[in-house]
Amino acid sequence: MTAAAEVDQVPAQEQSLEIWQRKGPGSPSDLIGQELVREFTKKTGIPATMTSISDNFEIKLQQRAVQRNLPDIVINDTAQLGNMQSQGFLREIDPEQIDGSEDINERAWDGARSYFGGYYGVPMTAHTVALFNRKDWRENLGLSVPDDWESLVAMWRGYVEDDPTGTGEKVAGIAVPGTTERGYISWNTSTFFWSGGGEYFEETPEGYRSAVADDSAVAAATWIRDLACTEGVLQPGASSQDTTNTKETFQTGGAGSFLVAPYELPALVDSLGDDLEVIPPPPGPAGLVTLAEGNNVYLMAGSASESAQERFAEYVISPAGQKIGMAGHEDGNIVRLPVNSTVDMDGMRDPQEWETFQELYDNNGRYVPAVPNWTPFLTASANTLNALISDCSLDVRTEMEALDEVFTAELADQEVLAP
Amino acid sequence: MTVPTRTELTRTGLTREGTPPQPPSGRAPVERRTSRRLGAWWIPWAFLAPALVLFVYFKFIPMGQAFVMSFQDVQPYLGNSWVGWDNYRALVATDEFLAAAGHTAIIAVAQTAGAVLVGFALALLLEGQARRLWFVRSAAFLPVVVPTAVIAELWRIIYHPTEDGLANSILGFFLIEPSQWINSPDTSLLSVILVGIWRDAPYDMIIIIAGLVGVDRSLYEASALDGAGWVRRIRYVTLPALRPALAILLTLAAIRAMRIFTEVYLLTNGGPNGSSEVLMTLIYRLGFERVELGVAAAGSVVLLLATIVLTLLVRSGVRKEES
Repeated sequence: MTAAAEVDQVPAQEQSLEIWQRKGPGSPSDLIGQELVREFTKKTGIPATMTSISDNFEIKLQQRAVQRNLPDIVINDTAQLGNMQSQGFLREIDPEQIDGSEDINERAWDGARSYFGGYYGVPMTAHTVALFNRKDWRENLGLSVPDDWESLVAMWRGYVEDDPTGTGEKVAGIAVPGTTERGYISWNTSTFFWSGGGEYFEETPEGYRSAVADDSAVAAATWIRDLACTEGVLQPGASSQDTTNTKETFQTGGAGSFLVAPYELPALVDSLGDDLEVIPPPPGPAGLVTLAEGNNVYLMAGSASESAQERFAEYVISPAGQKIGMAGHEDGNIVRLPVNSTVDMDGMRDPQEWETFQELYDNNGRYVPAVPNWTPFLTASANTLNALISDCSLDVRTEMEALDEVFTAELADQEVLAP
Repeated sequence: MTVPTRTELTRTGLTREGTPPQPPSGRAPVERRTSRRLGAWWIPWAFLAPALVLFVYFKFIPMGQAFVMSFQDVQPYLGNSWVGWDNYRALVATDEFLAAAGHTAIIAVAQTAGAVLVGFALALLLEGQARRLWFVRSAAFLPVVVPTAVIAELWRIIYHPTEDGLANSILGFFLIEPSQWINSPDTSLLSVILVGIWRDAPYDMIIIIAGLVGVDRSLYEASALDGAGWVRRIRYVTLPALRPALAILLTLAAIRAMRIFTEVYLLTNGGPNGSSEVLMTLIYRLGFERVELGVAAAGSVVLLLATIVLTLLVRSGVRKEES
């Protein structure tokens, strides 16, 4: 991969940083981000601005790339690494050059490594998903916490059929963002896909082979499809809803479960209070695998302030930086599970739910496959799953075989297809 | 140049019988008049300059760049490289491009026709001077001034796919089974078209009302006296008089429908299963989700050409009919 041209560096004492994060402007996360940057400047004397952008983040980044003037730092999803790296946006990082990098836990580094081996980001936060569930509804129906997929689906069917609210109002079992936008449906069902035995790829020493048409993958996709088609427990209109609509559906009592990451925890605790429980998703036929994600601090190419970039990454992973990002009990945490193993969550947060997330991350979390660029696979699998839940007459195997062809072509395109 | 003879001038109406013949220097006053009317040649350009500068900078240069990009592998940061016709080949090779072109054509035809028909009906109903008509017309015009994003959110609520969804309650009133609307591949395109008609019809109505004002009232009376019913009055009096207005409407509507984006993007995002994917959403997806900016640029160029061709076809069709 060609690297962007070297840029003349501004003298260290004159360096400054323009930082972007993919968060809603004016949102609680924006405010926490601003606080983080303010404290960074106070500590290091390096002037820095933090801009939060939620809409069309990647497009705005493209626009700056066209001007050959990228922001100095971008805080974004680990899954975006390949996408940005393949476009030459990222500086390669030598973890040894970053003070405190030895305190970052090993698994978090997985989300910062590119297919080609180098590190292209510094992990800032990690998390995985858990099942947010309406405890009051479950108890109204006299059900215990589900411990396998059968009891899980039975609980959702109970929500749909047995009037858990006692008002006669129709509610759904689980709310899933089913739109293809940003690949949401694939993203949000990958936990079920993996737990049901599905795999996106088989990794061989010579490269990857698409595994989406394997029997176990077809079975997993069928299970996801059946939530909509035979069980009828998905919220109505799921196939056109994004994360915001879906969260609202759950938050306003339109559905009994929502599989999501802890960034929604403070807001949902706020609106649902004691009616909410956060439980590990029950294991499927292939055990329990939960989607691990995180954010990296990306040091962008073409910056004239490279040493300031490194100082910022060091500050973010330091215990002080991590604690600001964790935001205690407040809404807006930009550090979910701290990546720095010396940071202790005790006393900062209500431990119980966060411990659930920590345990799931440590024991069951899995990052998306480290292909050079995951985005095309995410989009393609989202198209297929979206089709399956919106047109129940489709044959799952045929659709997964079509997806298999797309995957194989894309693997070849990215030059990692196993011969 | 030869000086025209008096007979020729008479024939062309430039002189009248009985006036003395023009001296050979008769062209001089004409020239003087021309230069007085035009002034310095650059003055009109000076007036146009501000708009032209903006157009060149924000329209023509980007269009030119898109054209160049359509022949490149675009990597804004690493540098572009020439790939010839590869982007066009990649574009046409995919089923989704053909499907998107098909959907765009269906939307263009159905939405344009639907909006003109409904607009025409509304115009006939709401034409007139009375105060209450003015009020109803304004109310009917509202969809045109509401931002598309708001319309999309509104219709998302209307199309809620349960039995108690608004659109489904209306269907239920006629004992029709509830529809999945934007959530089923069978009905998503229709749902998008309905929203388009709802939004465009009032706009068409206003243009048609303006055209109706120009219809000679006495023609209605004359045709009524000749025994024409209202269908024939519309067929032989109203429609011919509206031809120029309809020509403009059809051209504008067809161009607009080719570029349909916001409502599709917000309502269905091209789904489910690509059933409502149109060219613009596909181009957007190619460019900004898959970051294949070169292929997306090729798609834009194809769309531009299609729009130009369509516009010329509509114009020439109308002109032929006029002559």
